[in-house]
Amino acid sequence: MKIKDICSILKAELLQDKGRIDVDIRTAFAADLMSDTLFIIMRDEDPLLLITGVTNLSVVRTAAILDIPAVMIIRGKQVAEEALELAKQNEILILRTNYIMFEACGLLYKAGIKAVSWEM
Amino acid sequence: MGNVVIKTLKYSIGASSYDTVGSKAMQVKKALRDYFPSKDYMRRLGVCVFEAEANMAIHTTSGGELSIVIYTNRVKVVAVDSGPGIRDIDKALTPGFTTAPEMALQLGFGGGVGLNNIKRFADCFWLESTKCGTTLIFEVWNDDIT
Repeated sequence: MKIKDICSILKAELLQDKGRIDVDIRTAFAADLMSDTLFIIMRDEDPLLLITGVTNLSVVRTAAILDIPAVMIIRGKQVAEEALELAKQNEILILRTNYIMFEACGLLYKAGIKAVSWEM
Repeated sequence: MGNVVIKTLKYSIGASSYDTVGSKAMQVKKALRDYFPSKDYMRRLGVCVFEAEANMAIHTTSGGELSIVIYTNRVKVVAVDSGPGIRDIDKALTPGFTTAPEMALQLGFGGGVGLNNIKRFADCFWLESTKCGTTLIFEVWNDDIT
């Protein structure tokens, strides 16, 4: 699913658009704990959307380490300018929706986005 | 050939340096990109360094030192701190068990999976801890390079 289609489904805005804007998102993971996010088993052929309410630098660093191309900030939370700048440097797209995590996940799942491989 | 050290990187991690957690892992990833082009390998290594860095920032009283030794076919990471030590290593390796302060949790860290995650992704894992400090050594091998 293209970023513009994700934005349309979640009525989201693109806060940082430098990056893989034409990426075809296949899977997603949702968490407010970056520790749990680091458990993702990421595959290059399944580009991932990270859905989170965390808006500080750590979410960008986590995305960078895992090669996550796009992050969806939920609950309409403010994102610090330095986090957006770090995302720009690392070409990670930052999107924002006013939906809560439950609704955001439900809408994207219904539209065909699958859960990423994850095991404790 | 595999035992040839190409480079060693050293980083100091401050105690309670929550706002910089992950920054050293990003530096390592950038510094090693030319040596290890495999994205899968760099993700495994990056996650392990990230977790080691987070552990030092969250759990130590005086911070610690992170050494990254780059060989032709693998990377060895040595993380040393001066306390307060891990009281029960078996518990610390149990997913979900955490002693992280509220501040770390608010920033998205301290979920109790860090050491377990390193153990999962590393090819060698060695951990010793007393009240005088903790030493964690692990290696991540790149099997594509012999």
